[in-house]
Amino acid sequence: MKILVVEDEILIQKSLQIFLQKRGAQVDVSSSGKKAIEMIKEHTYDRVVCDLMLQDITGFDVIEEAKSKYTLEQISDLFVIITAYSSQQVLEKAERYNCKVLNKPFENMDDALSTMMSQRPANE
Amino acid sequence: MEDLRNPHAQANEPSFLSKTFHKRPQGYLRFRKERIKRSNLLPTFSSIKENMRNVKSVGEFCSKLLELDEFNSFRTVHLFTHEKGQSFALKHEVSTTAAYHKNFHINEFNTLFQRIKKSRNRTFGQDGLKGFSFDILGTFLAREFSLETHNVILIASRNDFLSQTDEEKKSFQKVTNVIPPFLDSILKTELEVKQHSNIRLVLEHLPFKINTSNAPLPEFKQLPSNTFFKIEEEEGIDKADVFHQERIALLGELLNTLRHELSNPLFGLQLSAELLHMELENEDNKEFMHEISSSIKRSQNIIGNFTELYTSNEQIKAKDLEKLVNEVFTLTKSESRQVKKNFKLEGEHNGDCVIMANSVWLAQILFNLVVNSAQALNSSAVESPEINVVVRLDGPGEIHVRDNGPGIPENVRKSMFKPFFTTKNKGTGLGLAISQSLAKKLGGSIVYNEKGQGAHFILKFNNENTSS
Repeated sequence: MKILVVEDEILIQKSLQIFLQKRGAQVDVSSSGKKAIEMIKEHTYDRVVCDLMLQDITGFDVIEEAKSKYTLEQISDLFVIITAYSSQQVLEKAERYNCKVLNKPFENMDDALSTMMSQRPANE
Repeated sequence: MEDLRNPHAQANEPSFLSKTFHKRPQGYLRFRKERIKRSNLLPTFSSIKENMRNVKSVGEFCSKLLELDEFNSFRTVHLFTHEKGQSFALKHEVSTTAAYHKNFHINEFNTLFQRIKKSRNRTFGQDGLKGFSFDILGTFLAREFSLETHNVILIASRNDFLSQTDEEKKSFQKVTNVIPPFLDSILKTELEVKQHSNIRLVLEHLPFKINTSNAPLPEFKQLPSNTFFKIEEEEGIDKADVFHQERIALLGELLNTLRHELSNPLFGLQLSAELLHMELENEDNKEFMHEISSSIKRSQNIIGNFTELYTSNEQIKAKDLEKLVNEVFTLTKSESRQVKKNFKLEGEHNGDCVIMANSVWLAQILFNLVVNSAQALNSSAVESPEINVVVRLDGPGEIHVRDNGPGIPENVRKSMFKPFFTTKNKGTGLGLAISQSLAKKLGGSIVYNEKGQGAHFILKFNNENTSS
């Protein structure tokens, strides 16, 4: 499974990468949202684990840009949003894309990793 | 060495006064006292004062004057009083046979006042009264006083036409030197009574009901009870409440920002620590990593607790009171590090301390009480400072916060819940006022228990979890 982790907090980024690699995934990383957009357009990822608050742009901006390559259905499957913000506004916005949302810090590490690696049938 | 006879003398300064005092022989004061005794002034003053001490009204005052030895040759006392600012004066006349008072024209009063003031020997014959609308039989002695709330004229007459003897003049002078403070006090009291009765009359005749609080005067208690309602001191607390809410909102925002800023780095540390723990093989290193993880979790909890404390959350949720109290203890550590803090559950109960109430408000109140105790203990140098939190849940919720500090003196106790009242240099005076307001919101109150040493506050609140 090919995963892209978009997170600007280095320790989180690197740890997630190692955890996911231990579970057998191939993991690329990016600290920048703009860089992540390029990588999404260039490669084909099975999953993009994306933080909302990035240094340059927001995770939602990344998702919007991904629309130029993927359908809405694919988007909802592709992205897993991770965020420290649990406000109602954020949740509502995420719901519009119908993506899974994980709150930082993760309550349960195993569950969080499973969600990141879950294979959903393409036509769900 | 301080010269006790001259309290103003500096300790090491050889002032002129202390020098001369020192030079006088010890017997000098005794000598002076003897002189005073012999001139008969000392005992007389005290007997006049004794007579005047319990006089309550002007009429009684005049009667007492006539009873004095010094006034035994006088038959009538006239007392004219003018309440400053009023448009009329009063004339009281007391003689051995009668006593009455009536209104007196202000202009006449002022003229008489000035005339007496200007006169040198203060003794008057009938012609001194030409043009005045009152009669005084014979010659008389007069004196004027300018008191705090009133101007007063005192006239004493024998009701005959002989001139006063020197003895009589001296006696009159003596007495009128001593009486002003008594007269002042009587007139002030009478004025107060008059003002109260005026207000009472107005209130009685208002066409609508009026609210009042803490009416201290017995007169008010006599009025029909549907005229008055007691109200809480809501105004002061409402202002404090708004002030507090604003501060809380600001603090909440700041803490939220802080939490988010700290949340990510801490999460990163948490994940890395877990990874390293997994990777390391050496048991000691593994243990070390585990400790790092624990520290990180604790940091995350502390931030979480802080933000909870400052939300304006109005939710009633189930909460373990022991956990809450321990969280509050942690939060108070900046003040209470040196203080031993204990939690205890007392009373017949099914064993756990889960309550249903707004735990945010409870936490805010407990935080305030514990910090207050800690500060008192810190500044009082108690040997083994302790704060005990005891919880009783076998009825309405009760949380007792006790310390073994110096306690709260009575004069502070009656004002301590008032907004902006504080005994601390840097205090806002809002802690207890807001706590009391929050306690009310919780359906309870905070009371102070005077028994025993140290401070003892009891927070009563509505526990929706009671089995009853």
